[in-house]
Amino acid sequence: MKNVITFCLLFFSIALKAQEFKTLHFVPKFESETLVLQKDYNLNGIKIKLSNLKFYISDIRYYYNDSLICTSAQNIYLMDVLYANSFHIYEKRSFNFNKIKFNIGIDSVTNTSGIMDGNLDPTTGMYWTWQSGYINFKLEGVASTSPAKYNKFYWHIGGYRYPFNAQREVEISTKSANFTTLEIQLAHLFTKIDLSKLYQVMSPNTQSVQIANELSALFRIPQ
Amino acid sequence: MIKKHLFLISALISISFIFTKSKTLFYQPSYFPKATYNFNKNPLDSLTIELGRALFYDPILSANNTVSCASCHSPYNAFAHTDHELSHGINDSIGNRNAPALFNLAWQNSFMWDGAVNHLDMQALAPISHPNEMGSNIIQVINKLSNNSLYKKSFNKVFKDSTITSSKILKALSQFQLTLVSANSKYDRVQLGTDVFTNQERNGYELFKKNCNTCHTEPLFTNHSFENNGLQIDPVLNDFGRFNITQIDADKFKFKVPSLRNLSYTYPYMHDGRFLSIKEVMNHYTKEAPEIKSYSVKLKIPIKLNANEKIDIIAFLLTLNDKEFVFNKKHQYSNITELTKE
Ligand code: HEC
Ligand code: HEC
Repeated sequence: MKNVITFCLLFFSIALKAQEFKTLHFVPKFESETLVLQKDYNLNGIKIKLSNLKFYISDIRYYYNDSLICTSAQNIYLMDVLYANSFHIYEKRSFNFNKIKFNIGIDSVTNTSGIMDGNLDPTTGMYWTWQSGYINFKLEGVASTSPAKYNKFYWHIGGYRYPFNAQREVEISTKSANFTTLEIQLAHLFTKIDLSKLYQVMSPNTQSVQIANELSALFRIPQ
Repeated sequence: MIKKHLFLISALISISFIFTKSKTLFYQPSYFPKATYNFNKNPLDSLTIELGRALFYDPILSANNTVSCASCHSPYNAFAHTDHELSHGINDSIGNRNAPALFNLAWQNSFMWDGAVNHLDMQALAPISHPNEMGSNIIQVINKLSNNSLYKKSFNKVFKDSTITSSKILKALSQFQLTLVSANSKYDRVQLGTDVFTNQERNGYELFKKNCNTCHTEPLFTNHSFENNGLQIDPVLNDFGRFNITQIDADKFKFKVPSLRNLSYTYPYMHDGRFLSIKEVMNHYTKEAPEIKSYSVKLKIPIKLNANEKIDIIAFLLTLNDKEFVFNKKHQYSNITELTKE
């Protein structure tokens, strides 16, 4: 009996490993360039250098002509610019889709369910310790318009409680295919957010909501 | 077919075994509401509880190995702290709130005076990481425990796997704290019909139900909400309480309603430890209402109690002392070597 179970588990895990199909690739960009940390960028006279980008993507749903054809096998992905592999999404089967929806960040149920492993482990640095809640989106760096010491800025955007819920949905139509690349256009944030005011946003409040409101627009089909 | 049945039967037996085992590890009094902690995600187990207990008493969780959870939450004070009105942490730093008592946490869904923490499992991350409390962080704690052969051995014994992770540490700490059930006071015996109140206590109980029970709701003696009970605002601490979390103006200066069990062991009182005696608390509630916007509507009709009535309420409050809980050996100091013994 035990042998049979072990065999089945082994068989399935091998079978599953073998059948992984890449469906999405996220590419962080700064204007036309692929993002490089610690590189000097210039945007309308603002000098910007990014040092950290990390965020959660959850609940990916694939559609074909508006009917749902697949929900992602893994529910929550942590994308970290230091780990290029974290930007690829694989599914267990291949299928064509022409629209995807997903969430940036963590839902309120997960936020209130206690300790979890893997991507949700607090060692990832994406959990606030002094006030419960996941950081959905973290971007840090230096910008000439930030009044903080060394012109640093910290955007830790999260929170699951009304009215400062920071989870946002993204909906993107794509060409019909079984794979697509999505860009994450970080320059967008620096055109919309006034760094002279919002340079240290590290808890759920009206400021974090302002930044959260811009996050969906970062995700685009590359032109 | 027979095999399938055998499998089902053994599965059922093991499930019911786990169930009855958890039951004896956790006391759910019949007259309490059902505990709200989700035990399915962290089923109690005697070895895990013992690991949590060792961690709770071990200063290894602090940056310089000087401060344990018990430094601020002493078993003899129903896991509160009585030497200081404000908590006292690493390198003698003083926090800005009074360490609350710890018991009946399985019935609580928000933690800290302002409800900053939403789950017992996540609570320990706060003191571990706080620069004025234990001054460490969970990664450092994992590394230190992983380099300690006694802990390696114990984690292996408890989880059948020696890798030390956040979730194992935090779940073990939760398990120990979940076993801190205080339900053996005279009040509890009266509920169970094995004891009776004196006339004075009964009178105090009636006055309590009339004046205090809307917030300090029996049998847990808290309604788990955030209220302003009219404390004058301390201009030095200027602690906004619940507002810090919700950013809602109406929540300014609201604090979590604390349980009133074990008051004889948990002084000083209130979030900043401003009152040293229950008598001072009684005088506070019968003072003129303060000018604070968030002052609870439940207190808008002033509480009027004469000197004898105050004494009667205090007599009732003293029936909530649970000596058995405070001196329970199972909750007291233990260290990790105990777990590595066979
Ligand atoms: C330096 C003193 C200090 C240390 C060390 C400390 N605590 Fe606390 N604890 C406090 C204070 C103060 C509060 C209230 C904090 C607040 O309201 O902001 C608290 C709150 C709590 C609460 C919430 C209780 C409630 O009813 O809301 C729990 C549970 C708790 N601590 C457990 C622990 C554990 C477990 C540890 C060890 C990992 C620990 N504490 C270490 C001082 C301390
Ligand atoms: C409107 C709700 C409300 C009512 C009614 C109320 N309390 Fe409280 N009580 C609170 C809150 C909130 C706190 C914590 C306040 C703080 O620390 O800022 C508290 C704190 C206490 C404390 C301190 C406990 C500790 O561990 O620090 C005692 C004792 C107490 N109340 C007794 C009473 C008594 C006795 C009555 C009735 C005469 C009463 N309360 C009525 C809300 C209430």
